[in-house]
Amino acid sequence: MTKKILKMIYRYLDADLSPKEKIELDQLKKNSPEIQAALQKTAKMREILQSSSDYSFKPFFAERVMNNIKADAPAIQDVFFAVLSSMFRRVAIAGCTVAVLLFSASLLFQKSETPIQDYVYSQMTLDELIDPAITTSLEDIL
Amino acid sequence: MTLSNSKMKMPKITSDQQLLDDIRAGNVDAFKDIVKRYEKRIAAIVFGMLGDCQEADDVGQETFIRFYKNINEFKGQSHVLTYLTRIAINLSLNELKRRKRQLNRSLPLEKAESISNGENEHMDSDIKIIVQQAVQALDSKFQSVVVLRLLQGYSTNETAEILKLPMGTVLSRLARAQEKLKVWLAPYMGD
Repeated sequence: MTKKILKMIYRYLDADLSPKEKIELDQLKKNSPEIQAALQKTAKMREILQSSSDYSFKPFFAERVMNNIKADAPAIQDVFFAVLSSMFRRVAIAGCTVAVLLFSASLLFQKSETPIQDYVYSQMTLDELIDPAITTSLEDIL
Repeated sequence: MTLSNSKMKMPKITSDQQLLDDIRAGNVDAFKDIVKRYEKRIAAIVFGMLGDCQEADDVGQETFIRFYKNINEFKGQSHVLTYLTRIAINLSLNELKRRKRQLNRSLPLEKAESISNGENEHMDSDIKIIVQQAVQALDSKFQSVVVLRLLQGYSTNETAEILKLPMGTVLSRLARAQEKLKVWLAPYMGD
């Protein structure tokens, strides 16, 4: 029996033959007891394989899986602190950014001619604080 | 009393999608239903690949745990069982690679003959052992197609889809695997 015919037998059992190939195999089967025997043996082998596939896990398998899943899950407080830490980080980064921007803006505005800046920088000198009359008399004395 | 008049309570069967929605909403316990629904099918695959051993149970558990951890990535394009099967096959293949020592695959020929002569009373369990050993004697790439197609009864299309292989490759591997399996199972095939 050729390899081609053997493959056809397997494909026949896998329902993978085209109609033309099926007719060809049927014809071969009629004329060859060897091919018939090979087909029966292969079908029998598949039956044995399929009937030997009844397996089960040990009892309480589902419970063991769930215990493993729950053991791996983080505790509620860990989740809470993780979320809090993440929120704090975002707020802190945003706050720092705003602070840096404000500081940069204040540096940029330092030398500008605005009424506010005029007021701020128009500081009285010590001499101006002291009464001009007293200053004049001191100079006269000296 | 007709069936329509009876007060039989039909058990409510929650669909996979409903269970998945519950799990994603935070109901972890709903996952237990998924495990119970598919554990037998996954057991058949894992034991088929690895044999009756403790590692098979571990791989089975890991299959479901991996599915749970990646549940948000499961989009429902394939059936839950298909997805689980794929995970189980991959983990089993990893386990086969990791094994340092092979399982005892060689059943002495004289034992096989004594079984076929009816000298052993426990025929069914011995056939099961022989099938196990025969499948594990195969190369891992043949094992996966044999377990899915011949042990589990998936069609060749489904097998190709699960293993992400071309159909031709699946058929070719099946053919070669069956030639090797015949050597082991010849006493039971009516020679």
